[in-house]
Amino acid sequence: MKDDERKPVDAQRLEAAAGWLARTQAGDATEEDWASFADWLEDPDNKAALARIETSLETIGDNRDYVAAALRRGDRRKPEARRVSGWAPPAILAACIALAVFAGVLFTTMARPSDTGRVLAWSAPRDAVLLVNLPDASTALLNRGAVISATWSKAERRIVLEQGEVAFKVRHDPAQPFILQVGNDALIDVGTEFNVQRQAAGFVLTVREGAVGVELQGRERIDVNAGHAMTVDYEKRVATVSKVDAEEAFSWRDGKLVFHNAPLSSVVADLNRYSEQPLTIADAALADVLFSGVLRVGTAENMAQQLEAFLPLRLERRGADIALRSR
Amino acid sequence: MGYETNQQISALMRVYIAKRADLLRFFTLRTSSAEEAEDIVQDICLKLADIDEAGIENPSAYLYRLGTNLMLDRARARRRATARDNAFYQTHRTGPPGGEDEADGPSPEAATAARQQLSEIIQSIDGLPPQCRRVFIMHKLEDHSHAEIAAILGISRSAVEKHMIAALKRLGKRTP
Repeated sequence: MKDDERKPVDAQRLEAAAGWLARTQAGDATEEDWASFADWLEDPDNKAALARIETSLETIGDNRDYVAAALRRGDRRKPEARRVSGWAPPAILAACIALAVFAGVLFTTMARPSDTGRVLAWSAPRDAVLLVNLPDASTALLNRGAVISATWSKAERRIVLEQGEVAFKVRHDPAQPFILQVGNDALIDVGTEFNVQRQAAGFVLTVREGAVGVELQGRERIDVNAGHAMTVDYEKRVATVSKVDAEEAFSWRDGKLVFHNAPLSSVVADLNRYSEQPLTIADAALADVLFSGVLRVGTAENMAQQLEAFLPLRLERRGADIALRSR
Repeated sequence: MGYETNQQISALMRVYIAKRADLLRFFTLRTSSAEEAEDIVQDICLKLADIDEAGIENPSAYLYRLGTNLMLDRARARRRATARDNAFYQTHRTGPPGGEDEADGPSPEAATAARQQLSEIIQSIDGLPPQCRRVFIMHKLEDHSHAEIAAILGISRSAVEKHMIAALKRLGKRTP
């Protein structure tokens, strides 16, 4: 890997390597394709070209959150890059109601109920929440940066939580179940109010009212009742259900963030969803320090100061960046 | 476990048995290690027990794909273990902070080089044409399949594949 980085790359080999990776990941490669891929790999130069791409992919995979956050910051600079064609169908009457809600403005959008069988999608801006009135009078309140898409059919109402956090209030209808898809998992509503936060490798579901049936990777359904939360960790492959104060999970709607014995690393990850300028933790020892308390959503500077008041840490400023260091 | 007659071996397992040698060849070439390939092919076999084969259209291609995922998982686990060992070493130093022990972890040069590499990669992705960038992010960072991306963006699957090829090619070009 070290040697091949110095040699100039043969564009044709690189193209072929990219082709093999893309084609075999598409899922429609045939057995013959895989055999030809093997033949192609017999040539060490081909293999070196492939290794160059894979090294980059490994680096991306090992730093997923960081890369995703960095690219989201890039989106701000190039607003047209995020406006996905076909994502904001004309059927949405984008009535922007200027209700002043904490730091941001609350937008309201509405989809026409007649719009069936098509993919609708909504995304909340980085600095405001978005209230979506779904075609069936259910609502979805998208936290900053959240993205959902929806397909409505006679048989079911299906929503995909693409990223971020959303609080749903769902009208129950056994004839047309409301299914929220998070990764490979399905959350089936039983008439309820619940909050789902998608994380880098899992999600947290908190039920405030009613119950939600969860089918993890198509496995047997588990019901999560009001006042309970289910935390799913893809990496450890575990799902835990625990009793919680459901109000806390919804507190972001009021611009408040409530933490209970949360490691600082996860507190910071959460705060960073609200600002363009991420806070970093300068020493490893600090990452595991537990925090309990209520923080108000604000600028990075402001949120860092709140942490400084609660925890034995000091703020270290390098230009616009703020790092947290043990006091 | 245990099967008495051939009838009880699943169709997928029968394909596996027939294709084992081909899989072994592929993964030996892919990983440059006969030993690693043997482990991967073994892991495929273990996985088959939990798989519902009803929805699998092309069983032999499916085995290659399953093996590729296992290969990537194994490589990731190895990189994590190395990172953990380094972290353990760093947090369990006994000397005063900033003392001689400070040199135990990865060298500052190595850390700088890694950071540099990461920022180059991010710039490469950021510099892709908008639709290509979007497809790459949806596939690699948001775990959408090609088919899902095609549906969400309203483009054909072959267009998704073309964008992925362009993005991957760009990532390979990155280092001078």
